Amino acid sequence: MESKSFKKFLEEKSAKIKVERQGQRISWDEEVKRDKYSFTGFLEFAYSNKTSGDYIYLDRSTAFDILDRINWMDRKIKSLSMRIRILFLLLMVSLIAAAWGWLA
Amino acid sequence: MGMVSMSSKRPLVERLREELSKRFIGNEEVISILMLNLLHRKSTTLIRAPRGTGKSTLMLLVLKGLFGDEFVVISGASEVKRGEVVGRLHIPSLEKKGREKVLWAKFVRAQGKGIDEVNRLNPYTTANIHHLMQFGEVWAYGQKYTVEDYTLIANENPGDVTTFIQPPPFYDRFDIALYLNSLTVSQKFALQELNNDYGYDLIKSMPRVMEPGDLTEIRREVEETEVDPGLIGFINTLVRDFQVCVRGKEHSSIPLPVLCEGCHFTRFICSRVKEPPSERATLILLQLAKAKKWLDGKVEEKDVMEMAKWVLIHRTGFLNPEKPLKEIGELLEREKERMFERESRKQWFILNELYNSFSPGLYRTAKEIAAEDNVFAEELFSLEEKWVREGKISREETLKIGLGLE
Repeated sequence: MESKSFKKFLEEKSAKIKVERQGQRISWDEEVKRDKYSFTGFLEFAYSNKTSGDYIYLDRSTAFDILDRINWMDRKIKSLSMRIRILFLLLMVSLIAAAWGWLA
Repeated sequence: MGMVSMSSKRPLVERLREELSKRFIGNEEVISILMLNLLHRKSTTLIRAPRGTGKSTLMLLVLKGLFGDEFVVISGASEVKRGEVVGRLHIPSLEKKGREKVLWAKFVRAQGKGIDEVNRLNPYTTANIHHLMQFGEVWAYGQKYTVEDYTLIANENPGDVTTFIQPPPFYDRFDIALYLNSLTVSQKFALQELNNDYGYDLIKSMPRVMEPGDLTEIRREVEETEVDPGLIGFINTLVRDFQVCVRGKEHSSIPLPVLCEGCHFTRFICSRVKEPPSERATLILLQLAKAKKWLDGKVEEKDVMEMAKWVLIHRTGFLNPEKPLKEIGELLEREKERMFERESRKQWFILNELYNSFSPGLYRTAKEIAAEDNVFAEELFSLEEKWVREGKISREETLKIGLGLE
């Protein structure tokens, strides 16, 4: 149930926010403050040495970026594992060949 | 925050604080909140401290300052009879007229009430006082006495070996619980000087600062003081942060932290609160905010944060209850950050827009915000229900389904 005072609270909070309306679109400017609480972005968290807040937020494009990198690393790990296996097999074959030659 | 015009009674409160500070050393933070709590109707305060830290002195100083010698103190350490707390039969009326006339106890009738060592009261006395605090009335021999406005100050040392385990709902009836610290070396010197100045009787030296009608008038003015909706919202959100659990903690028999396993909100305040505070916390915080505005002309969010410590500490069952002051301090620090983040995300604006009309773009943003704020999520759940009924969204795309809560 929506109460009158709750609606008044929401309206008071909204009145303080300057937004631009273009038809169905609403946009607003984000103020960047340089205090300890404003540091919650993932890229700042990843690339800055400063201490961050407790919570780090990701926008959708950064999340896709990270997902891309994880997938790329997954593929890389798989291909490297395959190479290691092949190299290991080659090593085993050469060891067997060397042992065969030594015994013969 | 809006300013309020100065009341003619405000100097009386200032004087009470001054007289109190002249006689009570240390714990200044506690004195400030205690002063505010005296300014609303049916004020109840619990002072918790180890023995010898001045909890009885503080209780008596306040009662003396407000009521002179017209207050009553009962002690849990002595044998308290029902007749002394509630009432007893008037024997001559019974013998001569066969009428059961009740003589109501001074404790019930007095405006100033004190309970020394409330933890040592027997359960029957506690039950009577609990009823008085809850319903504003007492019963004896089938007769009822309705209690008018009062000020009740109690104290206890929870570590006392003779402690009765009083029920949590009883403690919930106390508006605030204050914890006193023992005195530092310099404060001990100051206390010794005070004792010399006042002939080793601090209580006797305390003057009565208010006339009988003054406190009533002050409380009426405080009640009529208005606090702006933004601050009321801040209070409600703060208390809700300590109550909320998307897994229904209030009606679950699964204890914490087992209930939180795998929960999306596991790093939130809710995961460190075993038993959430009652709605009284919200009401008391609002009363204190009104008192602060009446007294100082303004009240801000940081003031509410300070007050919350004393309002929530005895109402909240913590997951780590060993050091309650440290725990509540940490949780309130987290809360400050959460409140800041709420402002940064403009989430109340987004909710307001969604209340006015459904917008798929804002709904997507709201869902992302809700994943970071369980209190906001609750509000979004109820809007989603409405939209599902109206056919604007399908149940499968709701946040509740997304979080695996349905």
